[in-house]
Amino acid sequence: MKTNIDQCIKCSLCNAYCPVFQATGLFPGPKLSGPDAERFRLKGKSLPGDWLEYCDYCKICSRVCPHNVPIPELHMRALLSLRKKQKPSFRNWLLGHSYLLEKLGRLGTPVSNWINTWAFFRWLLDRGLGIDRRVKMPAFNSWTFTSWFRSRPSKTGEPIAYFHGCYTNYIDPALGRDVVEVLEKNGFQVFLPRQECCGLPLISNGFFDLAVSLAKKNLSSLQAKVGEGLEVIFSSPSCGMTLKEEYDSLLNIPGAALLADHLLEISQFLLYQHGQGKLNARLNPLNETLYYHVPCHLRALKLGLPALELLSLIPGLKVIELPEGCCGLAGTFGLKKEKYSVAKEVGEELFQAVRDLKAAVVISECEACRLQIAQHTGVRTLHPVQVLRRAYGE
Amino acid sequence: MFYDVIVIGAGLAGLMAAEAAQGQGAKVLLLARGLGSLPLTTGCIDFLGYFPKTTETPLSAPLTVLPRLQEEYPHHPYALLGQEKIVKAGELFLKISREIGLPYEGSLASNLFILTPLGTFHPTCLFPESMKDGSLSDPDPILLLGFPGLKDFSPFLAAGLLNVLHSAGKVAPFFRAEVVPELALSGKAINGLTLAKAFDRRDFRKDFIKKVKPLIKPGERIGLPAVLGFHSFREALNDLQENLLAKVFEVPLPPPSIPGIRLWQKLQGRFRERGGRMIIGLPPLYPQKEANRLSGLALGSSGKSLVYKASAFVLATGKFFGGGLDSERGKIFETLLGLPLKYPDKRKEWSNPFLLAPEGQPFNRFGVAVDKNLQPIDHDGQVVYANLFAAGGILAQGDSMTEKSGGGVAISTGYWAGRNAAAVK
Repeated sequence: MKTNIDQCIKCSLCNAYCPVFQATGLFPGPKLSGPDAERFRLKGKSLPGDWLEYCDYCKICSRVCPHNVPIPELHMRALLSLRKKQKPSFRNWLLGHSYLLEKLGRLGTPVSNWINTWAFFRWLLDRGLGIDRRVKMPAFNSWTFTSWFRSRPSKTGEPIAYFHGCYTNYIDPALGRDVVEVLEKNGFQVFLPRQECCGLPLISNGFFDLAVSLAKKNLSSLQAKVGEGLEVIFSSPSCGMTLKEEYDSLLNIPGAALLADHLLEISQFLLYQHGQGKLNARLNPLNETLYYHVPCHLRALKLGLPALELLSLIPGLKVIELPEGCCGLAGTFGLKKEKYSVAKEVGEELFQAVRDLKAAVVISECEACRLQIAQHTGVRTLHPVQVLRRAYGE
Repeated sequence: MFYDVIVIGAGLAGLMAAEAAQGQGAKVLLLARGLGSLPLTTGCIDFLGYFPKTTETPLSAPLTVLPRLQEEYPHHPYALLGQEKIVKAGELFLKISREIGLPYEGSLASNLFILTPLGTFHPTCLFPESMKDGSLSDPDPILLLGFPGLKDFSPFLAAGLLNVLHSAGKVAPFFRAEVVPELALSGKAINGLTLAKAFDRRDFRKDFIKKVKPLIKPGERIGLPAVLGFHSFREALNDLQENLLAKVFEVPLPPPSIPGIRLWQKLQGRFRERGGRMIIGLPPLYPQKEANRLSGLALGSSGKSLVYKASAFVLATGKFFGGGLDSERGKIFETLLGLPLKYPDKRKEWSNPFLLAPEGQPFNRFGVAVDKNLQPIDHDGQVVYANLFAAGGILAQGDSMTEKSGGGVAISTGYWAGRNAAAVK
């Protein structure tokens, strides 16, 4: 990727829309920390880096930039090269390796869930490690999505692959089940390629080498499926974005760019099927009003808003878009003690809108958004494909 | 994914086109690469500040020069539309501004001269109520107030330069400058957005009023940087005027411009509330054609890309800044559809070596030629696509930079392009 900082004309649109810049004085804004600071970094001058961590990687800056300055990439590269010199903290090691934590947590249920809600333990985590005690940690499930999948007979149909991601596997297996059932009701036979964590928590916490090694494993596993003629579906926009873009532009994995065309977001794929006249249209009416929050990483994928179009096919269903903006959690960002209030401030307009609209259910493709919105407003959250599953009935 | 009208571009022209099409009952989709250009504008609508290619004397009554403009520049967007259509679009904009709770004032018959942070004047036409008391034709003295730490506004610089203009008889009032004593923003950075959000809060305004009152002399109007509230801007302005017992007005700042963002938020909110769909942050679109009509816009080049289809399309993508036009060493081109453009063959005729030449820069006049219905035409005057219209900065001949005509061209061509597009079946 060519660093295109000369295209920056200092219009400050990035600053106008950066949610973190508005929420705290600790982040100097994308214009300064991106193309401006890059001039110093290119000359090898050392810069203080603590403010780099406050970028929550929502990528809103590059979306509004009229000249395609790749600001989030400038940030991430600077952060990664900084982390090569400084060892990350134990807290960041834990959060970066969340896939390991989820594995262990699952093995230890229900004790692990009790411990996570035990006030004294959370106080220890807060004071000792800097994981904010106010965060309601998602509960580990005793069953994983993959164990459920393997335990049932497979259906026949047109083969398709599913990259489920760690969160779906360990924490929200019901979502994975809904994705599989929706695909099966559309005549597909779902295959799960061998998969590791997509690596985004590792990248954002500075673990470049481990992210690369997991990425290579994922790439070869997915390439094998694509080679057999399968497309690969993903349901988490952050995993999808990492596979489609970060593998190539940040991690420089050879062959990653070619895979991108075969990675499809679930609503994008189902909408395509609809355009071809192949979508199972036996949808029961759902007479309800749902509120939709568009995840930052879904916008970063530049696919439009396929979930809105797809759900408009369900009779009686009303889906209203919430005001655009970042929810603030940004993966592991908002779990960190020093960033918890920033994350809350970033999402505050969104949460206020949810309260003002008296929303009962908020739908969003991203697990972090669902977690953050539920945490700060108490509403029930779902992935859009789960609404479709319900409309299909039995 | 079928719509009646697809508008491409989320600037003022695109938003007005979408508004007009909705008003005719069309189902409208608005597609944009970014978030539009409104945060870069003052928030005012500049109709015509200077006669084309002259910046000697600013115009005080723009409508009176319209017949001369139509004669000398028959391909200018204003000449193509004609006075009646332009006036109608202006009236409609004022009506919409009242309906969205952001009332604008003024009329196309006369210009208002407002002051700029660099200490000069700017002729504009339609303005939000927060700027109405800042006229430079009014002799009442002005106190300019700055905020400590707000880099974009130095009241001393502005007041000093404006007083030079005052001694030359170019502006009516005399200026004083002060800086507000320290204000607390609870750990947030001091910039336009954080200040504007702070002004939404009653407690912040109370504290501000207490600190500012002793600085004011009787009879003065107070000019503040345009950060007086984000959501509750009407309440904030009234609160300040009532408690400071003086007229208060906003001075537009360099981007990000809060008045521009307020207009953006209100216009897009209105569009969505009336059932419009807006998708921002899109990659380059791939047009799909059938004979001499556009049939759709695809999100990508792969076969599985989503395609947005419509009966009619409005191109409102702006010039070089917005991305509607781009250039290479040997040519200038329109980026979405490759529409035919007319421009000098010799590259050195594309620009004037004097940056601020009064005739303006030639490249600011490049763009797509259109007929009276705002449909792009080729070099023989034939309409290129039967269901395509264009509006705003993408149009040829209008030089918003030197004429100070950007807002006026945007709302008038935007409105009529949208209306014409909605009539296509």
